[in-house]
Amino acid sequence: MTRLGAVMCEAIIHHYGREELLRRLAHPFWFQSFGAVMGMDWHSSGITTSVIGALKRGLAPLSGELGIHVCGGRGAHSRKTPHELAAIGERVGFDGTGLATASRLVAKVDSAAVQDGFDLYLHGFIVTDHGDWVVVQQGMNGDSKVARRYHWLSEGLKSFVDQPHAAIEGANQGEIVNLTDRRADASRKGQLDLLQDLGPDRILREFAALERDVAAAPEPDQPMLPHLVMPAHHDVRETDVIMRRLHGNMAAAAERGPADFSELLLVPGVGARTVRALALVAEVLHGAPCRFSDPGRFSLAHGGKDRHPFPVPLKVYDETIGVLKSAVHKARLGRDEEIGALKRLDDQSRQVERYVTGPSLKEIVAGEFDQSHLLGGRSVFGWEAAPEAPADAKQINQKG
Amino acid sequence: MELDAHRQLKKGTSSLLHAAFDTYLLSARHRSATGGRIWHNDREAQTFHFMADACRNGSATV
Repeated sequence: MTRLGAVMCEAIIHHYGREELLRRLAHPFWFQSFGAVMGMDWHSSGITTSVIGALKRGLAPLSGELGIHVCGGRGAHSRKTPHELAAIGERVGFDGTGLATASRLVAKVDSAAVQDGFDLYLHGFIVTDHGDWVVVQQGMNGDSKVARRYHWLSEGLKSFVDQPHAAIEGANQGEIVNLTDRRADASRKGQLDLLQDLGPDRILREFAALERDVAAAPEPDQPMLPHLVMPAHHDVRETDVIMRRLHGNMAAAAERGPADFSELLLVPGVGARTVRALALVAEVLHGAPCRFSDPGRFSLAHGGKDRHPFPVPLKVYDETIGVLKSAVHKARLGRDEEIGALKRLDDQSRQVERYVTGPSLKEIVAGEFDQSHLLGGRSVFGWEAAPEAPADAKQINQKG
Repeated sequence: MELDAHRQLKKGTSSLLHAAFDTYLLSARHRSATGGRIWHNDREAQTFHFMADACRNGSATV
């Protein structure tokens, strides 16, 4: 999982840059899909710890080359985040102390100030050499045993109190409280003094009055913040997957396989199955945010370690990593044929999903279980054994 | 109030939110995590929910 996560991040950085990787990590739907395609539990809160841990281990050796660093983690590791940021800042040149303050403040907002009953136990701070960052942190409600994950992105937030917005730069926008323009530095300092004089109670009364005005606004049809809610059940159901998209992935693999992955198809059984996995991996690399409204679909690439929807086919998993590593390595040398093939695979999925049909999810999953022992099927329960022969076949064998 | 103005207001408050957090949280009014409440009532908590959402990029319940 570490190797697959790292090479997928390399591919995203190659195509779209580091800032785009941060934007994706800041999107809760993409983050869940990313974990699912790597074989983590598609619905579970454990996906967050696993993804952050895999990224930290996988990207550490590449941090100098890619210019991206993963700090923090679960429990005691989260408390080391400020020290890690200071050390990295000294090495690469960004303001480590300032970012350590940002890390503490973001954690305080979600752990203490909001008081929604979710105590933080994980804090991941991913930062580039330029000081752009994303925070992914997670808390658990001890009563309900449900976890909540929070995503923060620094883009557009140059500093915690110096934050230029397109909305403010525009002229004639009406009365705008522009606290963030650099020209307002003096008034901002005065405001901080005022805040200290006012005290927290008065501050909150002022904000409550502000909220009353805002509450008069019409309720937007869609929540302004992307908010993902995962179901409680472990099995992947047809209601969790947009089947049209899955059939598109499968059809694209069948059509593009011979053209772009002919060598891979020479590996009996594993090759064709790997191309299907690559179609889903390619969508995680290239897909627009709206493509991740069904994160469960991406668990069909490599299964799940808890056997949902099926055991992880390790032979396919290793082939996927091999294809991606080769593609990224050659792309760095200026040879984009292999990495381009993944983009074509994703484009094909988009084109054909409008009209193709395919098997039901039950049939797909049953087929995976039938083949699992041949593809190195593995889960937390161990290696997958061959399915038992039907009773009739056993009797014939015994008589013969 | 139009939706765009609503969004602008949320963005505009975020820097003041950060300043307020700096002032308030670092001034040791924060009580222990074992049952203490920072805010005096739900209204105050809701206000900070609102402002915290203005700063975040997204969230997930898993």
